[in-house]
Amino acid sequence: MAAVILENVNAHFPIYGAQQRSLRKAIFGRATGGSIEHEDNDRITVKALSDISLTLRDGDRVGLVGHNGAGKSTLLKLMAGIYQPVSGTVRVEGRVTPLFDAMPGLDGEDTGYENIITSGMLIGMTRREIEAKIPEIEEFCELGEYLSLPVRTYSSGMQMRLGFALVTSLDPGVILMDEGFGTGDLRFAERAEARMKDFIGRSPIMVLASHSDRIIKAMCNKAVLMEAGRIVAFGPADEICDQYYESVHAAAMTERAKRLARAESSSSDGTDLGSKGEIGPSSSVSFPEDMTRPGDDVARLCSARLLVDGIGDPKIIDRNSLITVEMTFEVLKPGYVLMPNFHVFLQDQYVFVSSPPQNSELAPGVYNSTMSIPRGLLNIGFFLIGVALTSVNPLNIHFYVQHALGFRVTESKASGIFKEIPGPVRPAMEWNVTRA
Amino acid sequence: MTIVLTHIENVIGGIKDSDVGLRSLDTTAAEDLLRGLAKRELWGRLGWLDVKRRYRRTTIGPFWTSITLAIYTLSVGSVGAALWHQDIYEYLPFLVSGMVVWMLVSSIAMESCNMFIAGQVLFRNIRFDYSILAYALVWRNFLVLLHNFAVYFVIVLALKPSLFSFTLLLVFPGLALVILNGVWISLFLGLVCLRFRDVPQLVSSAIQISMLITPLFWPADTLTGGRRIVFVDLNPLYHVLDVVRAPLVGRVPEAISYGVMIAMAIGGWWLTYLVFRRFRKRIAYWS
Repeated sequence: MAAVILENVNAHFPIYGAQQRSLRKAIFGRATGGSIEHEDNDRITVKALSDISLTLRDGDRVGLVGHNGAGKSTLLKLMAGIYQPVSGTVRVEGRVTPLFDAMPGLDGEDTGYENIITSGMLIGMTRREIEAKIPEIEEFCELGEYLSLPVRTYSSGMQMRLGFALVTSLDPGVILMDEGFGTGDLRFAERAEARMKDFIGRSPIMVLASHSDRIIKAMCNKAVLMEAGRIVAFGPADEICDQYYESVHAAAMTERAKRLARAESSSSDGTDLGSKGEIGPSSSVSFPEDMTRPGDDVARLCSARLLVDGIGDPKIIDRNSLITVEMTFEVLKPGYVLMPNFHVFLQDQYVFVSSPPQNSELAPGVYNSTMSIPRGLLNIGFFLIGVALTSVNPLNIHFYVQHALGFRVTESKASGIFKEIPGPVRPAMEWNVTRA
Repeated sequence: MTIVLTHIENVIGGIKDSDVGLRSLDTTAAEDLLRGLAKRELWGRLGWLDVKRRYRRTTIGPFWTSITLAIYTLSVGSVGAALWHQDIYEYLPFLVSGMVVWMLVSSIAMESCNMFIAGQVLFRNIRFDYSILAYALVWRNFLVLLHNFAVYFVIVLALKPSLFSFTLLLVFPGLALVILNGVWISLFLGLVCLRFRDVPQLVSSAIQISMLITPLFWPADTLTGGRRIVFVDLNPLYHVLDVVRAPLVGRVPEAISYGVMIAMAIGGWWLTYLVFRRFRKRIAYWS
């Protein structure tokens, strides 16, 4: 049995500047009363992790996703016992096998054999245990005579092979890995990949920190989404990775929205900017009249929303329901042939663009236009919809709000035969299997 | 790449796991000190490899320090003997004995300043008992000391073989006391220097100065009155020297020296333990 249990864990890093770390400051800071406060105010503390509670059990293959500095590595190091929490507890059942450094204590002047023994002992093996592993390591790393030479004579590839052979010869406990360890990369030969798979397969729990949702989806069954030192979500790897993707977009959207707002407040008439307005994705978006609506002097966007089987405001949609996208826009000037269109993306990937088959000149007024996505067309994933209005002859874009709407398509697990079917769409095709 | 999950049940049986049951990853200071000490194989190896590495690709290896010491003793010894009107047959064994001990003590103090700073690569990547670094450091310096003793033996054999007597055996309790103190000094200085990066400079200048004001080059008896009290009796470094050097020059160390050393060990360990217990957690964060 193995388990990793974290309860209300906090970790703060004090940041000491060159000045801060000096003894003089500490002594005189104490001696001159008031400056202690000053000292305390000056001290920068990075709250690397705040209030983390997490329980991992046998069989968990957990991915840690999040931006740089979200606390992934710190969390791993806490689980490894390298950092002790400022408050809260980290408890572990079974052994922990951190793979942050394949060969701790490596010294270029020592031979390969010597380094194997030093690193092995640092990892926690006894000398006898390591010596028993040496034939296996020798065989796997294929360094031959080189093992008797100082490691500084090795190429980086050879060094990596040695570290990899050593690490994977261990009996894995709870594996803790940073993406830097290279397991996700395809630079390993097939043999190494198989060995790594076997190694991870033998471990009761694996935790892997990565930026890449692709790696996490491939290697993990659960995932933790971290943001600014907190756990935002914990659940099945696929869902969390989608949510991570969504949050990456949301952050970009907020940023763009901010920039847009700044630009609008600084320009007297925001019409030209409004035409390419962008806002955060959700299942509905509306622009009240008193707000600058996206658009130009011809037409403006009032609102857009999603309807699922006629019901509004869904965020998670089963792929077999009827998804209807609606946009409401106001036409201000007559004499334009207007074509509403929706741009559907799966993450970064363009899935399709759609517009009505026929378009006509629209008189000033408010219009509703809807597009229905057939049941079962979209594959599972997080989709984003851009809403646009274009006039033809001459071609002119009146507004295009990227990522105006966002929604997740899921599927009730019972109907899925395979774990995951790739591709943005999964329409029902006509099939025939006959005997020739 | 995709990972195929193998059946976990089969796996667990195969792992011989001594740590069964849910336990905290926190290490207390006492655990660190004792478990670290128990890993004799590891700190022994780390210390030994350090010595070995220093002299890789040299022909006579660690004896280079011994040769330096020999040349130093002979040259400074001839000048010093004249300066302090000493008999060279008495003075050279006295000087070399003092130097051997001094080199041990001063290099422990100097190297410990850098101990945790240099050890970061280890304890930031694996779970580690910090005390191992201190044990390895003291062990490494002890090994160097053994090489330096060769110079002592050669000089004494040449100049005053009568020093090889039963009194010489008192070196062992003396060295044991020095080493006992050496470990807390390296832990304590290592911690302070990790946090306050200008302490190493302070330590190195303090060592340079104390080399001159401690009776190392000159016999303690050349001072009298108040000066003797300040530079000899109240100087802890004198007592550190005395417990090892006295038996090396055929004298029984003063009882007060043993007293001071034992008091230093108790006081120092108590202080270090308190500091270590309080700040052990922070070491990884400070680095």
